[in-house]
Amino acid sequence: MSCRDWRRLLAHRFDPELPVPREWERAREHLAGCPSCRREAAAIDPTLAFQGAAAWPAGGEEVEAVRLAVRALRRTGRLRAGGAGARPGARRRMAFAAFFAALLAMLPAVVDRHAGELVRAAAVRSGGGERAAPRPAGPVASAIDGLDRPLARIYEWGAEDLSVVMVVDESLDV
Amino acid sequence: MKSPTLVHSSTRERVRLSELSDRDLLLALAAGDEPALDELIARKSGALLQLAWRLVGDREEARDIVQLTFLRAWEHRLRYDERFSPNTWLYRIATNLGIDLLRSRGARQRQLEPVRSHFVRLADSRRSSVGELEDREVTAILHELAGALSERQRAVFVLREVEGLASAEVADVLGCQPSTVRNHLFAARKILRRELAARYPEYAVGRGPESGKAAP
Repeated sequence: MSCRDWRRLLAHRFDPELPVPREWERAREHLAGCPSCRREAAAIDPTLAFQGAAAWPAGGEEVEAVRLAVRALRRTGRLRAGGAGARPGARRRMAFAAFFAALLAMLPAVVDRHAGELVRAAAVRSGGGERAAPRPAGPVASAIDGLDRPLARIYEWGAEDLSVVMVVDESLDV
Repeated sequence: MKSPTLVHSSTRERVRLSELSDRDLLLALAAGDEPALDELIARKSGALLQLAWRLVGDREEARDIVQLTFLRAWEHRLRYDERFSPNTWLYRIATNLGIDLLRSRGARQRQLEPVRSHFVRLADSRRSSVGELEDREVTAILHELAGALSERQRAVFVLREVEGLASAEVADVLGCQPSTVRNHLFAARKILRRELAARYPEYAVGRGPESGKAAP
């Protein structure tokens, strides 16, 4: 496209009913590479100058920062653009999780007081000892790593379909 | 003795992913391939940062938008529609986030405009048209004037005029008809010409095709 050709296409910028001609794409390329035409075009329609708005040369550091930020967001939660709140229902889930964590923290004390009623506690001592007790059988035992350690307590609370299991190493002295 | 078997190699994995097309990369993402997300970030961050920056005019906010774009791409990876090009899908997420941010910005942005105007006016006043300004000055003026546009007008103008997407692509990104894109674009140009004449009369020397100089 020559320096003259693009001028006849300018009418399309001033009439919304005219379809944008395919040649306009080539006119854009010409304007981008021809400073004198670009000046002339901007004099006719100043908004044409915005086609050359500066680019942000985002380098490798910027990309790496995005990658790390996305990874962190995936692990720790999420933010919304503009700092708005988290996804709907997240607060309720977080409150439930906090309540559940508090319940777990209180559980050892409850266990000590109501061991016979709600909770089965078993001291696992693989080497034998004064409070030697059989390892709990079934999926709970097999699903928890570290049950073969010499000192550990296992607390289980709940029914068959939903239960809470807590394993406490006796070295923690709780 | 049997030699050890290589089970996993990060380098080989990166090479394999780098050879995939954008579309195949998104399909790998849909299959839960986490390294595919890293590859997608490496390929698309630059273009998305640029789009977001041109849309919202602030680098920090542009970074936030791009991070959230990839996060959403990962969370909604199963919703990727193969009818759309990968770029269109990512641009759509980023543009919607940008529009949300512009809407939430509202009055706060308008309060900042006089401050921006002061800095932009530091541009060399000896130049007779906006076409003679340096790119960064043009960009600063665009960011200032774009405050007069609605969020969708702004998105259409940036995608079509600044990023150079075709009208059909812009329509796909915004989820509207091409005729709507044309109307938004026409309105955006009109508003920008008016705002430029009001705020920067020294640069707004637009004569339009009716002057006879550019008649088809």
